[in-house]
Amino acid sequence: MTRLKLLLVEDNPADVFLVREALHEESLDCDLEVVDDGEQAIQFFERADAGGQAPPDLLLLDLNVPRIGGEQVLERLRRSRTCAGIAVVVISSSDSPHDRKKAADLGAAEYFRKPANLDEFMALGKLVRRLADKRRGAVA
Amino acid sequence: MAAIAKPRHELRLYVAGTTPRSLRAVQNVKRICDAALPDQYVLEVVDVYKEPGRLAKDQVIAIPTLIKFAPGELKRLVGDLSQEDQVRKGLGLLAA
Amino acid sequence: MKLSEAKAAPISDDLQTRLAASESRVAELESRLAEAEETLHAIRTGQVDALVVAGPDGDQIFALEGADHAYRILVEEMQEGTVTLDQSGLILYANRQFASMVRLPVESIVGSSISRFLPPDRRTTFSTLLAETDGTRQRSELTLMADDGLRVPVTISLNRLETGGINTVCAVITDLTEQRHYEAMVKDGELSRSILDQAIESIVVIDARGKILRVSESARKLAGRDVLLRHFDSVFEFWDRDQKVDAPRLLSAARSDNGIRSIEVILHHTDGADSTLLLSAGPLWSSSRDLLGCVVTLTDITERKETEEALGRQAHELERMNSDLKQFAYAVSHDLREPIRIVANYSQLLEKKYKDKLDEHADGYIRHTVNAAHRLERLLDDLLAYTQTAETQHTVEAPLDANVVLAKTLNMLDTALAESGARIESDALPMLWVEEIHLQQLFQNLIANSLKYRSDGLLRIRITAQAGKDMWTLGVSDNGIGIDPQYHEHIFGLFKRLHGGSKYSGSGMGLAICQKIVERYQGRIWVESEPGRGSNFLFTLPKET
Repeated sequence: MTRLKLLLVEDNPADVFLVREALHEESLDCDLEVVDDGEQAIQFFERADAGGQAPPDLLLLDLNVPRIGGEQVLERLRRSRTCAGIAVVVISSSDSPHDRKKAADLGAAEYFRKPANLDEFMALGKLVRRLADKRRGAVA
Repeated sequence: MAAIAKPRHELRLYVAGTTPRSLRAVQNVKRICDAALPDQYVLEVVDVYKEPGRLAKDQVIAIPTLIKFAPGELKRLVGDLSQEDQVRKGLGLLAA
Repeated sequence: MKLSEAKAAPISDDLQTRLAASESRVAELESRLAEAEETLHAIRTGQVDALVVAGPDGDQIFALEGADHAYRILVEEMQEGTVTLDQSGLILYANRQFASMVRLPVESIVGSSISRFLPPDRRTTFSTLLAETDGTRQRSELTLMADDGLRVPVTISLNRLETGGINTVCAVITDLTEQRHYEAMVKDGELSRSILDQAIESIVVIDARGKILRVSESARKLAGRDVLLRHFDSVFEFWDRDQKVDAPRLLSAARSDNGIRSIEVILHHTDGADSTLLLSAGPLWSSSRDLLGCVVTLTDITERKETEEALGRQAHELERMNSDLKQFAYAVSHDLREPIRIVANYSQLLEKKYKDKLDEHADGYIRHTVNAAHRLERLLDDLLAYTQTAETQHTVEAPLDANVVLAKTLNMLDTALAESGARIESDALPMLWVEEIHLQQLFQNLIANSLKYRSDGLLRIRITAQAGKDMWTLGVSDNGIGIDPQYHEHIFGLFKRLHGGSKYSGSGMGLAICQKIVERYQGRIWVESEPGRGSNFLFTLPKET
């Protein structure tokens, strides 16, 4: 079984650490690639499309990243040859229905609001596992 | 048959304001004329205090004076006209 | 030849003619003589009142009985009319004034009956009056009829006199026409002056040329000076936006449109100040439908306008300030969330990783930090919710089933409810004309409060609904700790809490948020409660339309 490849688009190092912690809690064996702005994310997709690297299995995206925002990243993702079908988890500090709807409209599979409660944050790990299993099941 | 209009009596009585005889003269002439000449006379009463200028024209000497201008000759009667026969005669009327 | 000898001789024609002429002349002379003799006789026997004697300046009248010259003048010249009547009403004497009253020359009057100068329906009355007159003066009012039919209102004063042996009645007649006219004028003038003086409105009456005929006291003050008989435009300068409202315009409107109805005009005062007034103008018609003039009414609304404008500015200012505040509150609450969340997360992380690895004090420190972070977070959530209750602009589009919303809310509070072991009961709830998010927040806050402020024992929460005229009254009641009546209003204030920091968690904003929500729908929220007797929070919301 190939290791899970995850791309995390997040600019806050504190949250990056928490995401890693969550994945670790779930004993998820994965390669986590981190970029800290939207532009780098898009470059990632382009490289994948060009054949320079394998597309990720899962995208963890904070909508509120600098340079190019999360929304545009998602739109760009839709147009990517190789990455369009990957599962997306939008992670956000906002809980507004508006943002949730936007994420759903743009094809995100899940919307994860970054909670203040640590245990709830750790549940992100479970969420990722669930999505990964689904994907593997589909592929297989 | 057409009625023949009898000539109207034209009378002018000179009085002096409200003096007693003047008042009586008015009363008397009215009474006599209304009885003998109903609607057949014209009476003008001139108050010499109001219109002194008219005296001379009619040659009035004493007041009251009644002047008959018509019909017939001009006739003057002086006094308070209480003598009815005299007045009737002067006006050319038959005795009552 | 002797006359006797000529008897037999025939008389010639010529002679006959001359004879006739002479006879006629003799007769005439005889007549005149008789007349003169009669006149002399009349004079001698005292049948005359006066003699006419030629004087240096013309004929003079010598009265024989004491008719006083002065009195005569008085009677003739006096303002009153006077007549002397006999028993039958025959006019024996009339003065000049009476003659002019009845519009006839005086010579035509003496000798007439007084009835001639009375209206037909009055003649009998007068006869009675005449008959009843005695030696005391009687006064009555009646109407004379002049020769041309004009009716003249008069007072008549009657007195009986014995004059020269005749029983006469002396009547003094006063023309009331002028007096009545004058009285009417005075009354009319007084009345209209009274109205004008008391009117709060400024009233200006102008004639068909624009000349000011009458003004009320307040109009005069408005002009600041005396204005009678001056031209309207020289006194007042009224502007309707950029058009002058002058006399020609007013008169033209009065003539054609029946006037002007309440337009706003600006009056430029001579000292530079401006007043705002409401102007109305109405026509004055003569009986023959000629425009006599125009009545202009003005109401000063300067103050009112100023107040309106000030209020408008104030409202605008408040609106702006409020908007700024809301934006600020939103930004603050939003921007603070992130770091606070991080603090919370990491405090917990610390706790998790280093629990039991540091001394027992450290555990405490960490716990406090974590709690504080949580509280901060909830506070920010509430603050955000509070700013948003007033912010959302969308209007209700469809009626809402309150039962569904309650179910959703209970679902959200599922864990907490289960933990508390609370029993929830509900009436059948109605359809409401509100937004789901608002009703949900109401239920959530109130039920959360019930959960928070519970007493020992089984917690019972009951949701009720009662129909009103336009609103439903819903209630969330519990058997919790209750609230002292003196605080029943206090608790709805922003950040107001009855219980100190640690015992009951919460930001204290929940009820303030609830109040803001119901107020948005013109509803009310209040509480019925006593310590130890639970609480019933009631609120009103609009029925579905």
